[in-house]
Amino acid sequence: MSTEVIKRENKLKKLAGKLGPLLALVVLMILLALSTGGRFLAVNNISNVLRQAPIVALMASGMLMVILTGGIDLSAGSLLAVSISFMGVMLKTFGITNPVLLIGGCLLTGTLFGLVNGLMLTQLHLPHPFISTLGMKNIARGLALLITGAAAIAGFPAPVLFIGVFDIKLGKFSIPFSFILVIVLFFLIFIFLTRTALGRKIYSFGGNREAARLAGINVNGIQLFVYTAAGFMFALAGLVYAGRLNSAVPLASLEGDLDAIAACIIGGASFNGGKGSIWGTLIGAMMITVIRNGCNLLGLSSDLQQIIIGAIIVVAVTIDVVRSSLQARAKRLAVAQ
Amino acid sequence: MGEIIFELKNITKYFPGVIALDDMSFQIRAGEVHGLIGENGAGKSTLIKVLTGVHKPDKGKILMDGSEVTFQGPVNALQKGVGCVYQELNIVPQLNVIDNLFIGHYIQQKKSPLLNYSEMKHKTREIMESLGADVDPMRECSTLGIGVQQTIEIAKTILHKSKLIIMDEPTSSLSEKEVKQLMATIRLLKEQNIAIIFVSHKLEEIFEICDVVTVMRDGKHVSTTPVVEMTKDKLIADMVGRSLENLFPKKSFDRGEEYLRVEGLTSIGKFKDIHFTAYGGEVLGFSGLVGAGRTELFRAIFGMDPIDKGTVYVRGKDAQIKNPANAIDHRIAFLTEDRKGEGLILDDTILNNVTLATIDKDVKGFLLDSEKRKEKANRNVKELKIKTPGLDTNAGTLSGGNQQKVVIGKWLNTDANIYIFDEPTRGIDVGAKIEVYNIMNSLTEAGKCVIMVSSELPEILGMSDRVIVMREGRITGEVDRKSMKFNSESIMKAAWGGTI
Repeated sequence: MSTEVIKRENKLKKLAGKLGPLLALVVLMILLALSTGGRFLAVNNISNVLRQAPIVALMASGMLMVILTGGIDLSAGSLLAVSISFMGVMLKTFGITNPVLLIGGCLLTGTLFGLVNGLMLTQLHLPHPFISTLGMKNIARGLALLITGAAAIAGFPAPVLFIGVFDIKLGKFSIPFSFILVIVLFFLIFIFLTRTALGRKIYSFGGNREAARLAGINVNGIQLFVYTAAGFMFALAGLVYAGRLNSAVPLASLEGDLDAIAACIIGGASFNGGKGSIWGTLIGAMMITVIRNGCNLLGLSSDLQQIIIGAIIVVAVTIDVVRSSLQARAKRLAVAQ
Repeated sequence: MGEIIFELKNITKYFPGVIALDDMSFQIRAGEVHGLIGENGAGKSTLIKVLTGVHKPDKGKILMDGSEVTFQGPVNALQKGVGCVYQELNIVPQLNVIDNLFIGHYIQQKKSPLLNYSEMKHKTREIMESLGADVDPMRECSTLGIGVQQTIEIAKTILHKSKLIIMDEPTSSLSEKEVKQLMATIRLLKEQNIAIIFVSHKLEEIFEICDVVTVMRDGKHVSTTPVVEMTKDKLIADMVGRSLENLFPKKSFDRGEEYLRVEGLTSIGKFKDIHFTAYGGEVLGFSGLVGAGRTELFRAIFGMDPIDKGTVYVRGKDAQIKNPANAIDHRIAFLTEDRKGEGLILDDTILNNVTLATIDKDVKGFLLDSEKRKEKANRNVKELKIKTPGLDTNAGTLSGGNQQKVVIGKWLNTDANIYIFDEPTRGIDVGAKIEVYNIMNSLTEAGKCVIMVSSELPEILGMSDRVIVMREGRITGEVDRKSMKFNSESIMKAAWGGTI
């Protein structure tokens, strides 16, 4: 076999590897379409799915950057809650109604809490982000409940809610603005991660932190960046959340962190860092949303939903493991021919 | 010599893009120490993995005492009498000697789920003593030296009554004293009629301990010769497939400007009051025993570890290096001794590895300049003769020598003036070693400054223009290539605490 052919085949296999999760998503959707008698594919249900997906997707995009460095952020859901709670307090206690200030306050809160997550690693030298963000998970959630008096705050001006509620109508079909935002942001993150120096450094850090440090890369800077950026994305997800519920709920997104982690893992990210893609993460987030939605359509209880999502995580990673070992074997056999 | 107990017949093993073992055959006799030698990538590791059941051969068979065997994996191989002591030891440092020795094969008390520690303790002592190691079975392994830990690994194979023990570069991380002890242990094993495959890059050791030596090249069997009939030159010629005039193609050039000057550098507990100057156009060798503080010194100079006292001057100016990024700005490059741990991102491509240190320079606007990066990487592959199917190949799949060239490529791309090479040829084959030496020659020819830390005395003598010797964190001697005292005796004396 000529090297050209091998190269082309490798490219095809890589593409197949990338398309694997997408194929799984499509199969899942077909199964749901069949088992719900077509209700799953009804125009308004598809709009529903697109409306539900952005919160998980936005959180997962922040989580992905953290996971790419070999880290984890258990405080994602709590940061979402504290960001919108702070925005609620700005409105209720301080009477601020300027939507720019409210949105800015929300995003800044998430960003700053994310920065603190990073600082705990780089300045306090905590041994693993599991610990620092576990602490932050509790602190941020407690603060959210404390400042709001554990009650939801409603009455935000329309522009604040816009991200979460605005739909673009195309005849019968309506596309939520938040989903378009996700697509645009994910494209930007894709460019950022694969085509910029900082993006590549994030992968390098996850691949081998010591080698990155020795090559002159500011490893503390990378860590601060990913946790801060993640905090921003969690707050942004919070804006969608607040828009959809028309209020700031301090108990919002109790399991958001785990859904975000699951989306990354289903999408092929490695817990060891250095491996994962933003498009895979989008598919992971869609998968979780579609399963939730399908289970609701089928009238399955939330207990069952949880079991199914748990099983999907395990199956997705198992498939990935089996696939790569089969690929390695196929390559060996191809050479033997 | 004993019976043939083990035989490989026409073993062939394919990997993606390469034939790792090509019709490989050889025989091992009881009580024989059988040296196995070859360049990196010659197929030694694959052969070991076939012998321990990690890989199944695609063709050929393994015979044991005349009948064919197949191994399902390392544990199965061990049960059938083939033990292996890997280069990286599998010792759990927090556990004691008994636990490490019996791990996975504990002895239980009769009719009880409880473990029989008194018997295990007794056996541990017995086996360790039979290997010439007198060690308290209750000692925690983290408190033991590497040599004793390795003896525990050998003891594991004895515990399973191995007839064949494979030792993969067993001396690579041992001190000289520990090497001597290992040699004594190997002789004890020989007396017990156990066969040993001894894989090493160090020719002296092959000549010292082996009865027979098999040379491999490109996955093929080249020669099997009794050591008494073998010469060093022939061994090297067999390995590289051509005869080598000289292992060290040293070229000397005129000394250039002062590049690096270190004054009174101290890091408490690591090194103390270090003074030296390094110039362009020369290779400054740093010799000494393992643990003399050489690596620590250069890690500190490169900004990886803090300095307690003293000053580093680069081209006459106080450099104030706080981290590796500062060092790179001062055009210093540091080739680490730990290629896999600190030098490479094994799961990333050659392209990304060789451009890692210059990533901030290869940008166009906000985005990376992929044309420029590829051009650089292609130049590295061509100039350094990196053997790879393409730039997209992961660094981890390359052989040791090619991996080292990738790391060197990364530093050449920074266009540094000062190159610190820490054990630059550790674990790479003779052919790649010579290529690394040639790179050092072309750097000094271009007026760059090369500092080479090496524990291999022949390499120090072969390639340095000047040698500084360290002992217990201090400089104990300096000798110039032109001096009468530029020989191994003087350097060893300084390394052991004397004066040159």
